[in-house]
Amino acid sequence: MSAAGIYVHIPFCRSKCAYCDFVSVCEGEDKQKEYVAALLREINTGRKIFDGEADTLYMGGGTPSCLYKGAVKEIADALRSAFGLCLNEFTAECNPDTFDDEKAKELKEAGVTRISLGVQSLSDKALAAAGRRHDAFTAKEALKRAVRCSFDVSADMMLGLEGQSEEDVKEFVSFVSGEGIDHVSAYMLKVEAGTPLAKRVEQGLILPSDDDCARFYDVAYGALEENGYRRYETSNFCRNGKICLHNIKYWTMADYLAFGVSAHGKIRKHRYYNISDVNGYISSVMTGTHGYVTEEELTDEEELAETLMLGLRLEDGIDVGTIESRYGVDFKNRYSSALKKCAPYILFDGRTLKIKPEFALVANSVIAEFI
Amino acid sequence: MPKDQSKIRNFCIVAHIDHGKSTLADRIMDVTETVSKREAKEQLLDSMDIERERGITIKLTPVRMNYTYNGEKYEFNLIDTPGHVDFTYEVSRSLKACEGAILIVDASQGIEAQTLTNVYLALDNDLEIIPVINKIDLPSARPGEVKKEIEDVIGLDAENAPLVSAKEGTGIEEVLKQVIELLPSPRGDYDKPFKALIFDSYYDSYKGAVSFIRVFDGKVKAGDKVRFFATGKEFDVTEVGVFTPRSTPVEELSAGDVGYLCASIKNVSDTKVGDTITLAVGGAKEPLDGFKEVSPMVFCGIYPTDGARYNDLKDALEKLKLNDASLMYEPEVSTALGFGFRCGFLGLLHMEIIQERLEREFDLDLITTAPGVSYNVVRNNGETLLVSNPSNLPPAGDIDHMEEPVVKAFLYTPPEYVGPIMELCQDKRGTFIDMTYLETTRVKIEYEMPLNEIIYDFFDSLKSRTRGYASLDYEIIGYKESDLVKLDILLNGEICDALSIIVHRDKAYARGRGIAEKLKEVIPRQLFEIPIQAAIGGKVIARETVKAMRKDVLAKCYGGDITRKKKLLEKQKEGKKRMRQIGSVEVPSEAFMTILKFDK
Repeated sequence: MSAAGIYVHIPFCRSKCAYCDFVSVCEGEDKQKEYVAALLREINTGRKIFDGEADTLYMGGGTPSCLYKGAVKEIADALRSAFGLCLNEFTAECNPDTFDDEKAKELKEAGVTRISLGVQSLSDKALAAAGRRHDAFTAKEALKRAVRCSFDVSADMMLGLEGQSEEDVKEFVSFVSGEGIDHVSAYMLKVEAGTPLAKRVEQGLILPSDDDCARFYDVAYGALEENGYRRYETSNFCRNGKICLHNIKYWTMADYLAFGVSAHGKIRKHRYYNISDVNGYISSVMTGTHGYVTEEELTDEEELAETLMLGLRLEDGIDVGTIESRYGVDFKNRYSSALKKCAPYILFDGRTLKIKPEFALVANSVIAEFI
Repeated sequence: MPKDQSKIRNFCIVAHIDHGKSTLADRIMDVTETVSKREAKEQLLDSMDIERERGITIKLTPVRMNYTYNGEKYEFNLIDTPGHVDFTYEVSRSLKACEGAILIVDASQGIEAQTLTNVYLALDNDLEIIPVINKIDLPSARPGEVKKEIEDVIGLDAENAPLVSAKEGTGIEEVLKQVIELLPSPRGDYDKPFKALIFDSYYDSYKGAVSFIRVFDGKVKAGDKVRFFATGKEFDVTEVGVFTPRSTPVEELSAGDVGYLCASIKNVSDTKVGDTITLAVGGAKEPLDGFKEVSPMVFCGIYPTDGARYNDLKDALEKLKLNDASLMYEPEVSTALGFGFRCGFLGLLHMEIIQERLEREFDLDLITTAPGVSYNVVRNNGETLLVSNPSNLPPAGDIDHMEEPVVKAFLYTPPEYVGPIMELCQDKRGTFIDMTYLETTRVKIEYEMPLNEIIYDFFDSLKSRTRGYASLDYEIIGYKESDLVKLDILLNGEICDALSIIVHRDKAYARGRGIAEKLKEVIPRQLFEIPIQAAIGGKVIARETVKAMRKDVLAKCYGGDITRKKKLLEKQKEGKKRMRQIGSVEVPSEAFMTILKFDK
């Protein structure tokens, strides 16, 4: 079993983006300190539930880069001493507008090795429409800064934004490639209920259609491939071997610990989710022993279904032998009808099962046949 | 002991939907202290949910009431009537059991289309009619004008029509007074042999088939041996009784009475509506006139969405059939839908009611194929087949000719809608027969039309073209030769048998195109492009394409998304269960229903 990963959720943002339904609040230093205190307490009790090793740390949000100065190091140090970490990768999500020279230095000193920048687009029009705080210039500066400070860098790109064009997508790829950025996450915009964007859609806003998004994705995919990136997961591209070591754990059913509001963790068959409102989380952790709101034990069946669901997102697909030995199933036999039905969309040689790259965006239809 | 028939009044209530038939019936029961108010709620004459929701009555539940007027004790039998063309025959039999009718007209709406068919039926049966103006409590009530309408349109004297608010309970006693003073009492002969009309029946698991009867002559009691004219079968009467409205046994039913009769009859099809019952020995020589054998005219395939529930569907149909002699069904197999039943109904409403009852009362999910009629198919070798399932049609080359059922349709309408109606009838392959001005404001138009066209979207089109003012009635007059073809629908190149229909050649193109367009809307995009074709024989006459799906994934999937994604996939999988696999294409159950929904 590979080492675990650790996820820490930082629920603070300077402002909320129009499409975002993550747990994030716009609060000042007082609340942030209160939150970090709760986080540290959860980390120190977390040791009791996990005695294995962890080798990646991912700080997501929200926006970790908008935390008060010194907080990231405080949290990372607490984790190091609690788990005796020897990290192969320490990612912090940052927004271009909060990632200045000073922040870069601070994160470097805290041990961060990889910066995931929420660029989303390099079109001023699309950025403004999405309610992002930064413009294309700021984003480009932030990307350059991250490279200059010798972080591993990942750039987030959003597909399907209001007013987006194929040209925007191509320009994005050409810029990040030219700046020597080796990792791109390409997401498709999803209108989540209750967000300001959802309201605008209700009021008649027309966003790019699913077909448009698929086209943008194909354009991005093509441009990235041309520039030497490979698509190692449905929405993640890298070159020079710079895959995200932490995220790969999610897709290969490795263990991951989770700390912070709304964070999700999994230790072997045990899955747990933390409370999803900030104050609730703080008071729960400070008065009780942990911030869990839900826990579940996966059955073998559920675990197998998740293994397939997640594994089929990977370029490498699923290793049939591993599944057969782990769950005692005869893969070919058990999935004979799904294999037959999905034959035009999959690659199956008896040892591995993958979805053909050109059907990556309709993976759900394929996966649904297997679970 | 002969009963004093002058103290009996048998009557029904005729009304348009929502004009307050059930409410008035309830108030009459209150005033006659037939049921307590609390009971009345459960005892509403409309007994099924579906009936109450649609404001129509299918099962007729009579009720007996006692009322004292001027020191004399009277006995009322109130017989409710359904108000839909599918059940015209049943209505006419119920009316035959009465001497009079209360006609309710809404004080603000005035006379409406549906009222008229039943009023004319009542007049045909020589019933005395008392007009009643209801809902006078409404601010928009205009009783004076409505009275005039009744006089002008129907030709009834409405001068003394009671003004009623059934809701508030005002004017009810005046209605009862008129029932006594204006409606004739029955004039049967107690000494003649027993003769009674069956106007409804239902199945009771203890008593067997129970006939609702109106006794015209003579008397009947438990122990008598009776004979049913239509079937010639004889049974020993086990119980006779009246409705209070609960079934209450009595010693004897005699001339003028309305009640029920049980004779350990196992099957409701032995108690046919409209049949006459008499004594097995020394009975009447002639039955009452007007009996018709009711046969299903509209057919469709009914399948369980979940094939594993075939037996549940079978049990449910058996149970419904116990109470509904006009429902027919037999097993059939479809390549697309698996095992199911071909069912026959009196008409479209009857079909919808049965479907809804199967779904609600028996908790079944159903797939229903397009309704059709039964055709006479004459093969080249002279052999004749009756075909109600398009899949059973012999190859076109073997068919010499086909015949379809034809009806005589009677349309009643204000004169301003004559044009639109004739246009509609023409469009529906109708042949004009006659047009009569019943009065200056009312025209009767007669057309000969294929039944197939009437069950398609005729009723809805008629209502929309005449703003609901025209009413329709029809009777089957026989079969006529017609240029009919089988229209097949191909999904991704494969014929889907459950979507095939038989249609007139001139209509095939439009229907084919309409169905293909509808299917394009309801079949979800799949991983490959799906051609939808409509074809006659091998010739494609319409084509639509469902484009291949390009995207179905949530792009990102990290720790926090896994549970959500899993739920989404499970939902997707659940959705797939409601799909039928037609060749390589997944077709949602609604698709089979959607093509029944009429395109305008």
